[in-house]
Amino acid sequence: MPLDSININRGKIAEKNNGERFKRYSYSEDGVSPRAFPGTPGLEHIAASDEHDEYGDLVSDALSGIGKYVEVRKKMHGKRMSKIESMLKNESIFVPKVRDENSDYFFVCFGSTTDQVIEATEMLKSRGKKFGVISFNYLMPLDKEKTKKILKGKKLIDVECNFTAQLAQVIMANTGIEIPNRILRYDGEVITSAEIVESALGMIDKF
Amino acid sequence: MSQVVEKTGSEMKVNYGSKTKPIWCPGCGDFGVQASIIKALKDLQIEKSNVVLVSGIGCSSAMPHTFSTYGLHSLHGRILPVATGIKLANNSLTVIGTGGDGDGYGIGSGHFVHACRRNVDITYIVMTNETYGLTTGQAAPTALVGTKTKSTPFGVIEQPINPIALAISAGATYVARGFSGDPVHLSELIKNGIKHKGFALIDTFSPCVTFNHTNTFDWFRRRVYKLEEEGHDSSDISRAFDKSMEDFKSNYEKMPIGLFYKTERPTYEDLDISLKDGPLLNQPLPGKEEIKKAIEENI
Ligand SMILES: Cc1ncc(C[n+]2csc(CCOP(=O)(O)OP(=O)(O)O)c2C)c(N)n1
Ligand code: SF4
Ligand SMILES: [Mg+2]
Repeated sequence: MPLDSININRGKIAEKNNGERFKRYSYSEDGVSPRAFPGTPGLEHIAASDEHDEYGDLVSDALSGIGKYVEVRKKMHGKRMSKIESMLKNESIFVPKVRDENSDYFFVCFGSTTDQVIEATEMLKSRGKKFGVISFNYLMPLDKEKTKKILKGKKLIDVECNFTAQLAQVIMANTGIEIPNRILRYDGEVITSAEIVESALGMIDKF
Repeated sequence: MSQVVEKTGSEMKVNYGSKTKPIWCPGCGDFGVQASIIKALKDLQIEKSNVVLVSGIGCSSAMPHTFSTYGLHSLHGRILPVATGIKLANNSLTVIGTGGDGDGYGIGSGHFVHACRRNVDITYIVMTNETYGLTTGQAAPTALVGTKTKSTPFGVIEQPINPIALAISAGATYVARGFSGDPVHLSELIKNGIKHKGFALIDTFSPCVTFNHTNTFDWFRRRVYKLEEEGHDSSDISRAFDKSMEDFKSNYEKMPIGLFYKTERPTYEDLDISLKDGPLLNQPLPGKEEIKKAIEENI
């Protein structure tokens, strides 16, 4: 990734006290509340891991089962989870990357397998077969609708280094698209571009 | 710790306690520990906004909620990595870990050993009650052999952890033990631990009155005695080790409290070159050109 494309955004930061006790976990539209750095006078608060209210005070343990706090827990959990919606809305990175859009077939892969897959498409090109690559950088969150659009109607071959085709299962669970053509290696060795080429050539008649 | 101006009396009236009602059972040892920490902070008159209490999970880990300072209630067994991170991000803060014996010596024991050898300038107060109070009374790693609990119906068959000996051998530079039943003594240990430059452990007998009917306040009262009253030399590591084995050697009949061991050596922050220009938090982020140059020069 080129360095110039990286922007450091430290997010919402509270700097001043408005005269009241600081609400570290104030409810907000996008699920993100301003944080304060320890050392800032007037913004003292508890950052809590157990379920808490807007101040960071606990609403667990001794307060279990009490209606008022059950409501707070539900609302706070909802607030946290709404960050995923905000991320999907504000970022365009939660979809797989497509290489060589106008290909006849597409390999689907993730992680370090991707390099060998790309190499395999180059080898296949010299044999007159047009293969593209759809590689996943993020699985959670995942923009389900956009991912579905990307995969739909394409001739797909799943390439993974595990026995159960974990990626294909995640894709199935999130988009309903099944990829029955799979090249799986699970002997602990790195999959090679040569074996991807061989297996792929044996599969393309099935489409 | 950060600039400490010790003042006598209450020249600067800071209220370190919060309005939050503690979750502890009436009579729990953790009340005495809380009072001792507050007294130590009051004596030292540290700016409230410069204090961070870090806890894990357990009854004792509810401690930060009873304070009006900064606090971070983290995950079970993770006090020390979080406290270390806070201290390295801003080493002008006074960082105090507060948690249980299950949290620190059970699931967190790996972190404990490495925090000792790193000698980060943090103060770690462990409330030892020989049980998992929050989860209703299983055996903690400090429980004595033979103790019958919900998780050990036929009695504990493993040796208890010896946190004092472990801390000294792992390189901690301030190793003490207090008793919630003697909060004045305990608060002195905490105060000196905060003042000490380096990793300070204050293991604290803090009885669980609900789930541990063996190691009660009275049980401890009959066994503890103060090292300083015996003229223990806390600068002598061999003597410190010797004293750390007294519980075991006396078959838990004599259990010393006080300062076992104290030494001076550079802290992690003193030696980490990235902190030579002051706290990381106050250092400007390097520009893209500087990062590029650093990558080219080093990679
Ligand atoms: C990773 C993880 N493991 C287990 C637990 C369950 N758990 C909660 S508190 C606790 C032990 C508490 O004992 P201690 O740290 O001694 O604190 P006390 O309640 O005795 O003060 C355990 C095992 C948890 N919360 N998280
Ligand atoms: S269960 Fe034990 S450790 Fe927990 S609050 Fe009650 S007395 Fe204290
Ligand atoms: Mg305990």
